[in-house]
Amino acid sequence: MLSYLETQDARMYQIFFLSIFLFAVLFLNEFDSNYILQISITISTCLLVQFVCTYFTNKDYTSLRSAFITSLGLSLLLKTDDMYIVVLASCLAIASKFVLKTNQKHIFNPANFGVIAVIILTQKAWISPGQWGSHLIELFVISSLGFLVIMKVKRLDIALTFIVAYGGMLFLRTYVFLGWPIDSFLHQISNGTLMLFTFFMITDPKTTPNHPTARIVFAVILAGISFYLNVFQQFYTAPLWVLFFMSPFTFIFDMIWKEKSFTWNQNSVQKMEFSLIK
Amino acid sequence: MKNKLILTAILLFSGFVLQSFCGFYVSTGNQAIFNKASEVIMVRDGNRNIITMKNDFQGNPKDFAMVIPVPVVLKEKDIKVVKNTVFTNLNKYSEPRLVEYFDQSPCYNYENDYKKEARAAVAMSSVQKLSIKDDKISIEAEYKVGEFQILILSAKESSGLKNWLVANNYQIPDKAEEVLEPYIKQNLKFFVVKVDVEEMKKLGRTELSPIQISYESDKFMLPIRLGMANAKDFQDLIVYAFTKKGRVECTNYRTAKIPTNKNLPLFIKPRFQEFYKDMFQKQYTKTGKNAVFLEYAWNLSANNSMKCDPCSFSPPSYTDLKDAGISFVNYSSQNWGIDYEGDLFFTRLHVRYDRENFPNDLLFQETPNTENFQGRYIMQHNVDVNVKDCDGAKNYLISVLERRENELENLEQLTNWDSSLYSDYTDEIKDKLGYKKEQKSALGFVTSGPKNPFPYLFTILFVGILSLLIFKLKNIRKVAVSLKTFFF
Repeated sequence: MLSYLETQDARMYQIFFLSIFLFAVLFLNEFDSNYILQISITISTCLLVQFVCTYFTNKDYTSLRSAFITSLGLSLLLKTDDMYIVVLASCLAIASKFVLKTNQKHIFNPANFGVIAVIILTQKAWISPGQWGSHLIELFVISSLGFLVIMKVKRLDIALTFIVAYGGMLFLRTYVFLGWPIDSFLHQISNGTLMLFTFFMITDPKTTPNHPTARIVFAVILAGISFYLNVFQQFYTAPLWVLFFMSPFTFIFDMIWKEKSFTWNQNSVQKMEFSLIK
Repeated sequence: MKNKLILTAILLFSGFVLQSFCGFYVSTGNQAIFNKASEVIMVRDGNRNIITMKNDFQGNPKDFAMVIPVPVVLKEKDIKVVKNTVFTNLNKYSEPRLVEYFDQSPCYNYENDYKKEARAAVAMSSVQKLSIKDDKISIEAEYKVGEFQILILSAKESSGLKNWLVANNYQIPDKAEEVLEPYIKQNLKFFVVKVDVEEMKKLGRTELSPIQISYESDKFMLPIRLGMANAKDFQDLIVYAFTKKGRVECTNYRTAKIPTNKNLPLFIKPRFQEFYKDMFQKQYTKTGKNAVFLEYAWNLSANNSMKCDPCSFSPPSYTDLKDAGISFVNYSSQNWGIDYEGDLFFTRLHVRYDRENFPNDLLFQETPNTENFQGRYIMQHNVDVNVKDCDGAKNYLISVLERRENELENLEQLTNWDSSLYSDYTDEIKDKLGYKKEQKSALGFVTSGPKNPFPYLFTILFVGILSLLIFKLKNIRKVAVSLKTFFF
């Protein structure tokens, strides 16, 4: 069962694919110099903060990979015209991993925390759910799926449950109830931010519930609230906000459905990882 | 007696239908670049929305009619007519501009005279007197506003509404029902506008006034779907958005910036309009035909002393802002030439939409982004010197030649115009430098096809994944087995 691929750190693949998306977004923006500056600041700040924090804690420098993923996520999601906000978001994102944690788990997804925290604190940042061209979405879906398949996806359950629940509700509302043509639904569901959120944010094993059943329940609740806010309250970035406010309650899910928590170190958790696949 | 009516249905979102204004656009004075474009002013203040729609209809006013779905039964005070000048002023102020610079005496001004060009595409049908017979339709209200007669209808079924419109000889496309039904299910009302010709004469108006509606809604959107049911071709829509805080962007389509600050050849001056149209068309195609373009964004707050740079037209005055329905700026006579005070941000968006590429209404959000943006194109005039005139002349001419080559390259990249047709532009300088005339083919301008990066990206990605898979061939079977065990 255990092949060469599985012995690799999943984070390397995540870095690979997120980098491709980031490059594609850069291409769309015609290598806008401000955006390049923002990306460089985000990556360097995240790595620096992670390095400093790691130095004073467990000295496990492989965690720099996580920080790199966080910085890529931040670069893809956060929009602002002030560079100090970029620095602030990066610091908050990484610091949240070291400060806000319980039982080896992070309370918040770091990128999610960074983005939402600066939006709340400064009011000068925002998320652009429409920033992705349609071509990019195809690219995104294809490679996300490729990523998930190749990785054997330890958290495929939460991503699929979320997208099926959210998409299902959207389908019922848009196509079945209101009677819009089907392309209206397809256009809504193929939103780039939604895809990024589904395949790269909620699949983060460090912040989602440990037990598969708990994750499915978590994803359904997340999808339900997001759908309501998106459709009835015109809150187009709802999934990111809902995840932010649901994250602190993850421990309740872990209390109800008990399971060992995840660590990136493969050897210690092999059994748990493949407990899904049986 | 039969009236001829034109159905122009603009669906304004949770409230309104912004239509495809049929006909051609002629503004008083300068002609706009996109004469087929509909124009809308959106003012957003909290949940307050004020939407002004400019009607570019140029035929006989008695032939005009418009159907607009609205979210609530609008009160008479929520509907008014405003002056056309507000649109003309906003358009002139925010239109893409060509600027000139002169070597050695770097002063600049702008050039903005667009040539007239008009095309008409009008769908007409004769219409009988408006009458209500179908009991699935009821009149919620009836008003006279300015020269317009307005009926607000509510419908229980799309077929009822469609029948009513057909019975009254509105030309309804077959596909309209697919759009009417969802709107009816969302409990929208429909408002039908026609012109009272007698009243128009009495008021002394020669052209139709823009209609302004205001309503409370948390939705910040423009319903374009109804208008699309009519049109086979794409339609241009120009949105002038005013907010307190910052830029407006589209949340369900990509908001792309129009290329800006590009140096162009001098011969572009009389053809600027043509250039901009072709450039827009190229960008539109390049972005997959479903992007919203940012053409202008400027912080118009009273405390920002620079209201444009360079100004192609005077910035909006207090009167214009009032006409646009903005209530959050106040009159002030002593503000350094600006006659208002308060925070204000202006965004101009340009959407080219059609049924195929825009399956949903346009949704917007206000962002805290206060960065200014404009579509600005530069002409750099050189000085007429000869090599023998002075020592530096030769080097100067060489730099002019390089510059001109770059300008032609820019032109070709932006529009796909064949730059080899304009070799005279560089030959002129080459002659002065005494260079031998080369064959056109040797000039180095090779016509390039459209450069769409996506096929390349896809190919690279595909090759990447493929090689990864081949490299890990041994594991594929195992992956497949584990997937199978996972799913079944």
